[in-house]
Amino acid sequence: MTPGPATVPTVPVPMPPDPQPVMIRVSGLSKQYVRGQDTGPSFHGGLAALVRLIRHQIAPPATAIGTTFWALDNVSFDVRYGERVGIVGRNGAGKSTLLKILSRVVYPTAGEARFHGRLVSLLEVGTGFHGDLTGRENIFLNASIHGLSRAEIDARFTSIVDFADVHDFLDTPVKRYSRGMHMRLAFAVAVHLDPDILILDEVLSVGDAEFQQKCLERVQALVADGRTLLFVSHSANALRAFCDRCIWLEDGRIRADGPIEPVLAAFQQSRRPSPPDTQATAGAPTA
Amino acid sequence: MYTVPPVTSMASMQQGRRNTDPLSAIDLPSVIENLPTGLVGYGTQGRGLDPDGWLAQSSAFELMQPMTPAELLVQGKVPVVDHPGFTTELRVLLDGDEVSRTSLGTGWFAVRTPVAAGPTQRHVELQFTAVQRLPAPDIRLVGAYAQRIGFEARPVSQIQSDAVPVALATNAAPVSTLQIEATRSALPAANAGLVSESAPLPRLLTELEQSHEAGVQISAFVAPAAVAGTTTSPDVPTLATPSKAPAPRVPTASALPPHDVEVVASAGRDEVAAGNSPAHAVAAPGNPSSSPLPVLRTPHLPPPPARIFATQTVIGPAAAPLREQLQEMWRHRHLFQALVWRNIRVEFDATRLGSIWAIARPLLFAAVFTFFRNLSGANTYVDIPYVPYIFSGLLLWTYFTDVATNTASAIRSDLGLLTKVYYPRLLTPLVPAVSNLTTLLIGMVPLAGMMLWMGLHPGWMLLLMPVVLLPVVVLALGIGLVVSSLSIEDRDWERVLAYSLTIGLWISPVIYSPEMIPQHVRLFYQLNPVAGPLLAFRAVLFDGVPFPFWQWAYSAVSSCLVLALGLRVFRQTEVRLVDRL
Repeated sequence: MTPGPATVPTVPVPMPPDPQPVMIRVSGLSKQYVRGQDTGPSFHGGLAALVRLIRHQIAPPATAIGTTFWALDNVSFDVRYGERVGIVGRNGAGKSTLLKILSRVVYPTAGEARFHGRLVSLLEVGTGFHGDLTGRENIFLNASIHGLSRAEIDARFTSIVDFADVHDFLDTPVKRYSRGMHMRLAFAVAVHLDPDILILDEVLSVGDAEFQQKCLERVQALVADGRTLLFVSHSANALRAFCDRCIWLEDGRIRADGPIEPVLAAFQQSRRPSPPDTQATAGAPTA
Repeated sequence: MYTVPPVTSMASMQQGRRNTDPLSAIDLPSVIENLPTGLVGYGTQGRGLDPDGWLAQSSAFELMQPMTPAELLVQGKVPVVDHPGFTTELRVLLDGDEVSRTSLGTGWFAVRTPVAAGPTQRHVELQFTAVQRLPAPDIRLVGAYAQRIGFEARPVSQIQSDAVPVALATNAAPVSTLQIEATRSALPAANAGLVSESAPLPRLLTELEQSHEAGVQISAFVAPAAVAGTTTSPDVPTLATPSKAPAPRVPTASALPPHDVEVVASAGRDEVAAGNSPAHAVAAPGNPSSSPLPVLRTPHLPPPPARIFATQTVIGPAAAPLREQLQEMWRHRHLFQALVWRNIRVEFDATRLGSIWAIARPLLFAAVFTFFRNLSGANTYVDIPYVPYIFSGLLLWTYFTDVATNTASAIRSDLGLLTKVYYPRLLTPLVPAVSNLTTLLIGMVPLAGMMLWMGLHPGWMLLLMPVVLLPVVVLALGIGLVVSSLSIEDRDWERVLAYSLTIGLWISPVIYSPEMIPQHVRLFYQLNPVAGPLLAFRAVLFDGVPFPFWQWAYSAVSSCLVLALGLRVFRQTEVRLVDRL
């Protein structure tokens, strides 16, 4: 077709304004684990353990060199407001360790991470549900575990129950729920937590297709609303759906960090040494 | 899901994979438009198209071709980055075959390629022979800014406009018309539901040019609100949704919040304005040229609320200072309430007889001891009636042992929580101290009955009850914290605690009075920090029993020391708690 007219005035495209503020700053984060069965102090060493604890000596002396390994090794990156960051990597690359540290479930061995606002992490759906409590009580317990106040929970309660569609079973102990109901309720609470930073670790694969669709929409709505998202998934399609940036971890280090497509493509290329057609592998869920 | 006729090997391969993916629930659209919002809900199936509308050198999409005779439309703009004379060539590939090749200069373009009738899933690829780099810091290499990509039904009335290769800088009207008609006809309703979540947002390119090209070309644009609003309009025809596609599962019109409906209304007005009078359309865009430029990467976000930056959380290798931890615990007081409530509910609801079991143990113990004392005639040096004395002692002792053991095992029993979600770790061991108070309270009921029966009554010192209980709570907590820290390394410590507590029953003034202990060892006896509160407990319950002030004071001080030790040890352990479990 004919190109546009050449009468376009040459105006230099201006610099964009300052980028969005940093929400998460990870600097030099490292985590060391002891491999295999931990040979901690037995009972007769117990008093020594007590003394050591009192004396602030945190780490017991490693029994042998080489029994430790670094799950995360000097990882640094920034995540800005509104960024949706996917994290890919093989099993054991440090993805979950990173998310667990950011969720403050485990402490790093070295380094530091800072973040602003309320961070909610869904490392596992249904965390904190107690079978003997009713659905209603579990909603309150689970939401308060994630830091919501009573008033905040009250404000969301109806919406949570509607989302999970468990009206008739609110006062039934959760242990009598079907598996599907249990997951629906758990996810309903989770997506109503109203986080500033949302961390998801492979939790979107719950329920039937219809409920999954509902969850996707909800997460997409959160994301479109400017929430910062960190998302670990083995599904390339899920990553594309949610993320505009991708961090590729390998052996506890950042192998690549950039826009989602090139990083994802490079990651998938690395998994299949000589793909005949990269396009064909692009959408494949990784095993 | 779709049943796709065998088209090409690539398309069918991808279809096969998609079925294994849980995200396949998203329907394929036939058109991607209204970028960037139109991309929401679509992004799973394409590559090379950034959410803000920029096309990379090579991009590919899975699109659904509608049943009617259609054409493949690629509409967008090649930006002026460095010089206006930039030219590139756009290759359009359909299912791997090149169907058109068009050279493009800077400015608007619309490439239309007639395609055979569908419906079927098509693999559309776009390739630019030359690309430009966006100015720093956004240094993406882009071919063009995409406005619409997709299949478009060809009603006869519209065919004549096909001939217009749309050089739009001089003529505003055709694009407006085209765009709105296309929007009406083509967007699957499923997408409309997704789009409606976010407010209509200005387009990056529109804003860029509005502020810097002085409206020369912008006249071609309809206000973005109009486009997005039309998208969510309830009368989206299902023409573009192939018959084999499932009906949209997501709510569309019914789920729209009221303000979206208003957008539709105002969009209609804009559309009329743009369509009827091109001169007016120049003024129509709702973005004043003074509006700030969006950030290129994430161009359409609401500004971050200031409250986010009021708090900063620092994660380091060591536990936070105790002061900060205590503040954080205070902020989590709702959680503490919920955890206490959980323990109480589970304790008293797991079995109907929960409240009976709570007092059965001290009652049975009291009965057995009374029985043997009466049979043996042993002198326990108790001045007041023996049954209330021993029962009250057992109540407090049971509370003490329960709190100590429950605290010690609290970490282990809350494992499922601790390894999955963060909350102040210190809350977990604090819960039993509060939840077990219910047992103590329930035990007070039979005690009150006994006292009435025996003619005993409390004096004014009953008001000191909290003061008496406090050292017990503190001591039990301290012991529990120490043991829980140690038992993370080595579970034997929980056994040690259990045995120590069993022995403790006999070396504390529970079932006998300390008067029974010979004078020369009584000092050692009184080193037991539980002894003071046990005696003080009787003093506040039964009028006339002297308050053992010094023993109580000693107990209070030593309990605080034990708690301090427990806190210190626990905070050391906390750091590697989850690693060890």
